[in-house]
Amino acid sequence: MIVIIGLFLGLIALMILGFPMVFAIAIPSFLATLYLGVPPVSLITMMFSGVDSFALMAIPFFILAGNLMEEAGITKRIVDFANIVVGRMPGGLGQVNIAGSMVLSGISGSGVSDAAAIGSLTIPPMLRQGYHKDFAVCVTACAASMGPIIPPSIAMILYCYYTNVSVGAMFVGGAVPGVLIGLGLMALTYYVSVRRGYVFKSAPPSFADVLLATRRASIALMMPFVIIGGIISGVFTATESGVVAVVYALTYGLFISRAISVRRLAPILLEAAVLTSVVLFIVACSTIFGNVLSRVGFQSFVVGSFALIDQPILQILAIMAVLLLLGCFIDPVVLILMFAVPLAAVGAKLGYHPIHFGVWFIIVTLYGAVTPPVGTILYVAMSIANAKVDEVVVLLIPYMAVLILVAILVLFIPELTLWLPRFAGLL
Amino acid sequence: MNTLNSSIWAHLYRFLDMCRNVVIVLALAATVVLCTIEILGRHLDVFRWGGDLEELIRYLSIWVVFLGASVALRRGAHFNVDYFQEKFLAPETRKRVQKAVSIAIAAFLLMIIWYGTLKTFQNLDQNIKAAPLPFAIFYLAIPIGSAYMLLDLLLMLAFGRHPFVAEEGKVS
Repeated sequence: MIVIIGLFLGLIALMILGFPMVFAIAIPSFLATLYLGVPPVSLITMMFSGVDSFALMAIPFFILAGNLMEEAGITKRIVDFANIVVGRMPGGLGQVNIAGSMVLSGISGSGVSDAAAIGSLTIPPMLRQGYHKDFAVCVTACAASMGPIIPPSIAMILYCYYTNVSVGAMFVGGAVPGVLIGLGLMALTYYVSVRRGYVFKSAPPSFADVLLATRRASIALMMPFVIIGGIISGVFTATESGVVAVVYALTYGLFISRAISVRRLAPILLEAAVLTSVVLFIVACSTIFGNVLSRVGFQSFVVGSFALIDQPILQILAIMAVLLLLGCFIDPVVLILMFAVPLAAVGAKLGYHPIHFGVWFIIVTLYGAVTPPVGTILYVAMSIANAKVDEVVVLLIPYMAVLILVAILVLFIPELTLWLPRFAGLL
Repeated sequence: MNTLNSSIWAHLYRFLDMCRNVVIVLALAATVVLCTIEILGRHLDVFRWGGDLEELIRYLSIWVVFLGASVALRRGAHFNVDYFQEKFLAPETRKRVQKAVSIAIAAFLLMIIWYGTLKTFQNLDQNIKAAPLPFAIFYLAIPIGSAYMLLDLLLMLAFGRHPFVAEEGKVS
């Protein structure tokens, strides 16, 4: 018990002092292993084995595919397509932002990159057209939270790595909840836009415009089907689907849009590697953390603690409250590697299907990235709009309410998550 | 700073930085190519590889992760929470705390370099299954990546900011 308390207090103290999270996890874990008498050289083996996983290789592949698509100019085409489809609704550019994020989520596995890509294309024109900063930021940040829920998803790959759940089934399971979040956000955006008078008249697009925008975005629209189709049909595994996505994006960028030159490949690869290492270096160091936790029986401690609550419904709502609260301060990646295993055990004890619990867990953890004071996705959108937290926080409340409502629906209606993987024969 | 940028140390740093970037790019490109061969190999005989390709792909990624982490550290790209220091600490105190944080990280990295090197030497004679390559080559990524992190951290600690990097991600 003293090790668990010391480990978490050390982590919190280092985090508050401003240590990068990876060292805030690694240093107390290292000291705890010394206390427990683990030979220091075995820490190197733990770090090595932490990232020695073929399943984790999907992360660099999907990041690289996303970067290649971005470099190939696909985001602009997605935004143009979304503009044709939903641009004439009240809150037009807000709706375009959400619909664009939904499509981009099928290419990229990260909410932060979605917020940066879609936000940089839609926030400046929104502000010029007369939308308020809080609206532009809330719409962008909440829409980008779909990124890791609609497949592919880096967060899901990490969750599956720690809990031994099928990545393919998780990917497919996230599709319906992800679309549900998008539709919920669009409905709220419609309501807010009517109330605030964000109704801008524009000429309806011609049939030729619709055809052209659809054709130009078709490569992006097809990508999720290539990835998911390949996994479902058994042609390739989830990790290999990442490589297929890379080859697909590379072929598109080099030969179809011709926006990528061979000279640009090295910088693109380097950027993808750096983004990958930010996630996987934490995974490597957190293996020491996980080793300490398993030595001191943290999993049974967590399961036992939640079992103290009588009602199963209250147990699951307590998990949700804890994750939402921690999410305000801790990045979703760190939350996954710290709590995925013990909370998946609680979920299994309560009778939840591993895929159902996993998708719900990812949804709830990701909301932390949208909430202040520490919300990575929110900060990306705020920096593009040059907004401050107190300017956006009031409108963020109804937007967060929509996200939490979807999480509750996903929790209480398992078929929202399980129907599609079951239909695809993955369960 | 201009004299420093044209000094032999700057040239040496640029050379080391270039080596790091080349290894990262080649390792990641190789994982993509090998994984493509793996997929094609299941469907076409021409692309069938004798060894365990998955193993080689996994081990190459160790280099990507540890060298990439050093670039991320230089750019300040690792996740961290600066909310509390900005909210509660005066700028001077914040600077002192940041120095103390860098020193603590440097000590941790020294430990990783030391034990990482030991582990590398312990694995000199053992080969991986996929190719006639010793495990040591892949374990070496841990001390080398940590040494790069230590180098950048000490440079930033000594000069207040990175002396050889003009802006994020670009070596001056």
